[in-house]
Amino acid sequence: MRLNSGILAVLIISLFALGIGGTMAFNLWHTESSKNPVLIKEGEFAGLPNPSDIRGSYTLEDISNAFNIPINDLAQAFGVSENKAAFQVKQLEEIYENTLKDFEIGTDSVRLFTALYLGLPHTAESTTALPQTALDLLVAKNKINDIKAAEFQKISFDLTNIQKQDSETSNTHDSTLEDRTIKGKTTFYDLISWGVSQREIEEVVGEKIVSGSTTIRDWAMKKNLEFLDYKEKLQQLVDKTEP
Amino acid sequence: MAKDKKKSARIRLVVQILFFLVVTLIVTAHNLVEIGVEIPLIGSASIHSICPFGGVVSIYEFFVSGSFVKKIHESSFILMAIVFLLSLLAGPVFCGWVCPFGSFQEWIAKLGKKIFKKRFNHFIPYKIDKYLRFLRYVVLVWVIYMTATSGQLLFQNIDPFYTLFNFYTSEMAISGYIVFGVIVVLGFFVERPFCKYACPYGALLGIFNLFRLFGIKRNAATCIDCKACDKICPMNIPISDKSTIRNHQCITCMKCSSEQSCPVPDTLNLEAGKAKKEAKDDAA
Repeated sequence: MRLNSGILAVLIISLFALGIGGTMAFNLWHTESSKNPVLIKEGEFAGLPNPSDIRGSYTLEDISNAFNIPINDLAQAFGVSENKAAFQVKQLEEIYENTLKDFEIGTDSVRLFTALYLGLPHTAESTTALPQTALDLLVAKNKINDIKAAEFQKISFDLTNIQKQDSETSNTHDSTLEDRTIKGKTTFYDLISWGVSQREIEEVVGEKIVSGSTTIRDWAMKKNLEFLDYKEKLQQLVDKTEP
Repeated sequence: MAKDKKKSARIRLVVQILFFLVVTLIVTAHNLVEIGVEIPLIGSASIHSICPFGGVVSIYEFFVSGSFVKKIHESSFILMAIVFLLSLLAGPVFCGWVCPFGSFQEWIAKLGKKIFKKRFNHFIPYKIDKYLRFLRYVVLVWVIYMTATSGQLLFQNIDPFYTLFNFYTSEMAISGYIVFGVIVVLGFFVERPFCKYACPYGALLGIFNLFRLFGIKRNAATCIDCKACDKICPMNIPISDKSTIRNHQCITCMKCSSEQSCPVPDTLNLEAGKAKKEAKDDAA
């Protein structure tokens, strides 16, 4: 039996089309995470979801569903005030990037918080920090005792101070950034750091800015507004300012 | 006759362009979603989720923990299975017909051929070169080991395939640009340098050449020993002295076949079963 180029071409395209189409039909084709963390395999917690498997793409809603933690507790712990359900934990890394000298608030912070909240094991990275609000919530809900609270106090930072520090850092740091294009990740703080006044932003968005760390896209999605319309108007304000 | 040969070569080019465009479209759609723009019907799959090699490096993680390496999903496993099936049938056709980075290198080679003419792709003596070709197995072992122990796609930082489609994004590492630059420069001297010396996926698929169902078979009875097949092979495989090509570097590009370069009809073909010479030997 012989194959020529034509038959081979048809064979290749057909196998890809049938393979992908067939698995799509059986709901096996997934290009994104299922948001179901793996289960702990051994020990006293065997069978429970593993906080160490929380990925950056998980939203607070995903974590709430997988670990049965109230979404408001997660949001309160990490200072998320808007669009709580759709907030991806990797956004924490963007919000608090370069704000703490030797520590990071990000996905691993959420893993640690989840583990402490449920009393599950998780070995945090040496640079992982917690917002003070997360620690306060764990104490208030009796999720950790005083001894543990004292231990984790060393890696806990006041969120409001961090946000302030972030804003101040951004004012000095981001002004030197070459790329001043509004993207999906751009926050209201970024605009202010690029020289746009809060008043100008509020005039465009038509309301007072409650949380500067909210991305413009998330704000628009929450309000059922077209992100691109506001992106364009705000970009004009950015372009008017000196880099 | 010459027209038929050109048509045969064009068929592969069309398939290569098709897959190149599909991958470009998917990656562009994914990157546009990051800035708030969505292309209807395309979705936002990342380049990792449509890479069959992602499935290979995730096998260890999958069997040990039941999950995938970060950024890898079920789609990579499915593509891996499709490519394995194709390779079982006709060898590494993924490399020769589908892989966009292989195609990209092939297009650079066209410029190299114009510059260096007959010297192109023949700078390294085959005696040395045939051993250098095993370097990609070292890369394969290293990539699988590093991914298994770290649970992360560390190869991404040097992967020229990733760089080709993400060079304008903030996710790029400087090492990725350097490796990509080196491959592009080498591509002016050697055809498919990454495939030959460094591609871990090509190394794995190359093993299928040893037992593939449809192989490149030479009919010794009609072969005129003109060595046109040896000269045209982009992977520098000596073809004219073999009855069946089992070389681990063959990418089933069909350039050597009677459909394209071999001047004698029905002498070099992609077919199942024993080569005619072997069959005659067996009968004797």
